[in-house]
Amino acid sequence: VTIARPAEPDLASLYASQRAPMTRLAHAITGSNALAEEVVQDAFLRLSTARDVREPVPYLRTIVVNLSRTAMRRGSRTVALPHDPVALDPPELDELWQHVRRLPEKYRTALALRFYADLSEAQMAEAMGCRPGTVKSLVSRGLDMLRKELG
Amino acid sequence: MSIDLEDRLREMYVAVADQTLLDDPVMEPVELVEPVEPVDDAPHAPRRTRRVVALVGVAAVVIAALVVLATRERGATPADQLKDRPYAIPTWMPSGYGYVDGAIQSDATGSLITYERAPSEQILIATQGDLQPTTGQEQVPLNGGVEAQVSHEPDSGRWVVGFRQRGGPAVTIRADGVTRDEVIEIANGVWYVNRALWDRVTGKGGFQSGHLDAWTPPGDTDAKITVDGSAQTWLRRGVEGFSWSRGGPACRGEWLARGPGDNRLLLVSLTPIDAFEVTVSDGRVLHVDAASPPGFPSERYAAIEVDGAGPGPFSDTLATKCIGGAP
Repeated sequence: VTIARPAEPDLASLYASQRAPMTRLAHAITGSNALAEEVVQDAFLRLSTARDVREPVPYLRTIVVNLSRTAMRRGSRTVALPHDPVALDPPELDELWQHVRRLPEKYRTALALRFYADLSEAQMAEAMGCRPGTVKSLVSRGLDMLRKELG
Repeated sequence: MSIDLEDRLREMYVAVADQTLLDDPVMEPVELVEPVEPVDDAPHAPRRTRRVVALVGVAAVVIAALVVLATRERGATPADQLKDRPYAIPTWMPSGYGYVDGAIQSDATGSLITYERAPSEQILIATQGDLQPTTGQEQVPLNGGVEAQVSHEPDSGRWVVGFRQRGGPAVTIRADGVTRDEVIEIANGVWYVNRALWDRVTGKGGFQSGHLDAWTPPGDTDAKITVDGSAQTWLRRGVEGFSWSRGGPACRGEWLARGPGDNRLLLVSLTPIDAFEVTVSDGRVLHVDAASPPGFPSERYAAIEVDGAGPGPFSDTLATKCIGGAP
């Protein structure tokens, strides 16, 4: 017999509050709006089956980052990622966006977490599953690569 | 130079975020189409493609494997109990399966709901009232007294279960990656819903949760049997803090006392009995008719006032018995 007081996580409110920011983060990382929506849907699916999640937002963000990186790696091995035809204003931002989307996924991820999500190095390291020194190096190297591309 | 680039990156990401579109996750009606290749032939296809293939696949399964609809009634399910509830939603899923999407046919006569644990592990539940039945390998009685036709493909491990509750739609379940007991449990936990409930449960990516339905059981109390939860986290039947799901009570009483003078007793049977019989402390025997909530034709409930309430299961203090129907 299964009869118990319910102890259901409040996924509905988490979905309502985090779906948009997580989709924007995934868009910033992957460069694709459509892919970002897929990633976030998958992330919530995984969160819904997770146990003992005490800090759901950082946990969700880590899943989104991991799934975004996996999606980008999978895309690079098969066909071109489905970049959405998004053009940014002013044109110099659009040029920068095109260069960012051509960076290797680990640099794109680090730049998005640093300059979009505004995470600390410790938070970035948690989300990317590496050491703080590594994320610092990734950001620095990513900026160098962009400067080189921008001339 | 570096600061300038960092500022430009921040500005760029704000612009990207501003252009991020969020589709309404409520699914548009989808029409079931002709059967083609099964889902497993495209395990690495994009999710949207997999959904279409899954939809088509389940249509094939429905056509190829839908059920001899034996409706051997044991209980007192009203014939029209499901008349206005043509769609089926599972209330329980094995561990790890998450809701993917739900769709109603364009002519609103059938539904398909999909759960997934991995690209090759999907569970699909479809209703389709006008297809010709076929025969399963095994007949398995469900809680509601109907017999399900159960087929198993040893090579793929896939289970296909078909059944129809009296007055309800034909239901077909196709499940990969589960055991026989689990797929029967899914069948026993089907909740029949109308369009409004379907849209609510399947909306918001399956995370639309909360109080979905309520019903007052026979008896002299104000207790309400409710359906709570979400497609992503199970749907539970419950009353005032108690809930039950998989393997729930076959015949049970539970005090609902919330304070002094509250002597309400809930009586539950997840099989279709006719009545409850309660023997109180002075030896009197109370007979209470049982009834089904909308959408759960095989379950029976009642709620009555009985002196001597106290916390804990009813069987600890009084005796209860389920009368008629399946044991």
